[in-house]
Amino acid sequence: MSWRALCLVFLTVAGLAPVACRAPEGRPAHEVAPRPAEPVAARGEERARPPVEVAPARLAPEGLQSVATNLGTFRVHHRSEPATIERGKPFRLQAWITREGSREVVPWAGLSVDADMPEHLHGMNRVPKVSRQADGSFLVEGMLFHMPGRWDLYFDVHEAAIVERAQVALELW
Amino acid sequence: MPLRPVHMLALAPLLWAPSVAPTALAQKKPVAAPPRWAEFQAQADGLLEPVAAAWHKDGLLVVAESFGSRLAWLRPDGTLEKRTELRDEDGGLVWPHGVECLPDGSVLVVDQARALVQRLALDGTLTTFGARVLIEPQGVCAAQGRVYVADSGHGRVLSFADDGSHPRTYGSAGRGKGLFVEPVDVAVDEAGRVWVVDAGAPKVACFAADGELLLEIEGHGPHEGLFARPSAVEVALGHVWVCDRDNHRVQCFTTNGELVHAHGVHALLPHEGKGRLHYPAGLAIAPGAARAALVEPAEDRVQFFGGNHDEPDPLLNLERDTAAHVEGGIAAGRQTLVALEPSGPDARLYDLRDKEPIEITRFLVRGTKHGGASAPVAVALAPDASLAYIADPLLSRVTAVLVERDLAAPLKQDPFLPRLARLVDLAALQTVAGIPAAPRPQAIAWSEGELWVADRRSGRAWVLDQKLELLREWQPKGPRWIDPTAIAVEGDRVWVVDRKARAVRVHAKADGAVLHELVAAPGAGGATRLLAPHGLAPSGDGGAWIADEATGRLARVDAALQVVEVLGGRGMGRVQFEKPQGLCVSQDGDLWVVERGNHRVQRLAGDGAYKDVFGARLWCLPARQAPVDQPLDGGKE
Repeated sequence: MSWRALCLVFLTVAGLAPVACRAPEGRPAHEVAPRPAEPVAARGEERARPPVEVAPARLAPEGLQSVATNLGTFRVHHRSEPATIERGKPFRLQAWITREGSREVVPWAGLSVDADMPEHLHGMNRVPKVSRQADGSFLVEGMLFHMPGRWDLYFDVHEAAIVERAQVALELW
Repeated sequence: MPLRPVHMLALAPLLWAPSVAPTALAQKKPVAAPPRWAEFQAQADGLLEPVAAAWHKDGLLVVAESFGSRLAWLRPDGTLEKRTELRDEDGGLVWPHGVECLPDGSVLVVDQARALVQRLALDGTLTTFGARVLIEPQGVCAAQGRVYVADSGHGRVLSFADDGSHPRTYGSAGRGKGLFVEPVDVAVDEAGRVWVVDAGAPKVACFAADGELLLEIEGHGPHEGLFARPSAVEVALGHVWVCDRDNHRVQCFTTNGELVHAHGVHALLPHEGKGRLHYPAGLAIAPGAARAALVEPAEDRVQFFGGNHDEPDPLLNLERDTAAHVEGGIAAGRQTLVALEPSGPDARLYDLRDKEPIEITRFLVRGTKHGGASAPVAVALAPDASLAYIADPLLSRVTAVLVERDLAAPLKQDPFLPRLARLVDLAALQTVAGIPAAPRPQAIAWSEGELWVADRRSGRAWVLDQKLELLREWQPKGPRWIDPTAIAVEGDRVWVVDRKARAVRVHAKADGAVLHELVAAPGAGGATRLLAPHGLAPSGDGGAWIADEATGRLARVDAALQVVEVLGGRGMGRVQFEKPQGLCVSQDGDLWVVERGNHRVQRLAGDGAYKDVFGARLWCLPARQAPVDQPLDGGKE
């Protein structure tokens, strides 16, 4: 049983779905949308399922840069503003999360963003803010790479208790 | 100009400040300068993992020896007055941790094996309290008619009336103001304020007697005023002393949180003492603060200090090296070795194609962010060595890191090799599986496409797939696991070392039934006796190697846990071991032994013959590092 399914069953039964999607105390802040609650039959009872209004799937825009997560479960489609990231200049990111091989945005996935300089054993000196947008994307604000050299930009995709990372390497001068 | 990291480090002491305005703590009268205890007086060696101490009204120092399951009563000159064996009501061994002496002469001992507090009266009467209330209790103190216990597993401090009734709570689990990750010790000052040291955060917190948070002193680092796994706290003469274990020192603060001084010089030579410190974990201040005792489990000794002068210690200006040392987990597979350094924290990856390990990269950083770690204690490698799985009990997390290498490529250092693949926050199980507290994954093993995670909190294993998806929970039968420090799954059997139960068990994989058990018993002696088993590695012939921290020996057992062979003994020579912990067997059949006491890894052939050693201490051969740019030519530098 996957973490997502296990968590969904428990949360639906307990009626806690919106609460349980909060980030744990002290963990990196990220945005997670509440998963749609699915009716679950308790103790084998058959229940009539109410009609569920299914929202049309949102698609990630075409033509963006994209990167697969390191175990290949998801793909993060992203663009930056300004389009070219420069050292010492603030920039924003917009990102969409899909499953690998699909363009449909995963509605319940969350995202956090970070960056490191592995050769220097440190990261950014800013904490970016991630917010979910109405189109299913994430807006990442407050990014700034303050040093020249290689930066690894991390997109951490959250799904239930799991986090899977996608990363992009940039060389700044 | 960008600020280089070195600049940030230099600024750290200036940036540090108590995180809560100390207005509530304004002192009414000036306090005399606190003693510095720069004068070494005596040391007591030959103890068995001393972890805590307290001064008795008779002027003796009572030291809890966890491996020995006993108390040592020491005179101030370091000589032994007597020993008291510790047993539970049924005569079983206890695992003593915190210790405190009461004014009536009785002694409180925290028994971690049963998660309760024993009270030993002078007439030998034994009473207990705190059972079924505490989880992983550590430090204890008594003041003003109450007993305070660091209830580490619950992330809080509990205080009881001296008969064990009416508990009060200080703090709760979590990260942030008034919250604790791993509270390990507690002290109460004359004003009734409760001082708690949290090794996991790290920080020292002060509460009013009614539980209101007054002050926090926090921050990780080597600079004065910062901490690296602080492990004990004491209050005397209007000052607060904190035993700063991984910085090898004691720091003194005013009750307003201002640093007064730091004292301690890191021992570098083997078993160097006489004032030099090596991972001091316990602190006891004598009445009147005329003398202090520092407990050093890593060296199995206690040192006594006196002196009351304010001259700065000329040795204090020595550069501190808080670099981590190998300890705990180790794993090998496909020409790759990963060794952990929990005090860093750090994980080091070595290439095994040459005659000795060559460091390729290191990964993990300190912190809660993804890819960070708080106390990584166990590691497993996927059979193809593409993924390293790290268990971190303090973060309740298992992290999978991609470390796949092209073994045909030239050998070189590669800081970009490790890539965080996935992590799972096991705290989710607290609500999903209905267990009372977040899991503490403490041992992990890879077996046939499954990752087995031993959880010391719930006393069971969680079985995950390669992508850390939960497959099932696995409940062992027999005695509940207390402190599973090693797990291995071979065929239809599950091997587990339960350290604080002093037991090794073989369970049936199918139903969890105990098939065989090897357990230390009171009075059991002989060369095959296990006092504190820690690590385990299948030997490839149906049996396993077991590391015993207390005796410094390795035991090879058969499938029925009958001891076939015993190697080693305490020491720092070849095939001698100081506090051996993690074990693993590499593809070529070599056995790798992590020694906490010697900060090194020894490599033995399958028959136990010495082959190699590497480590961080001066008397060990350092592992060679691969050049940054130029590949090694055929392994020859």
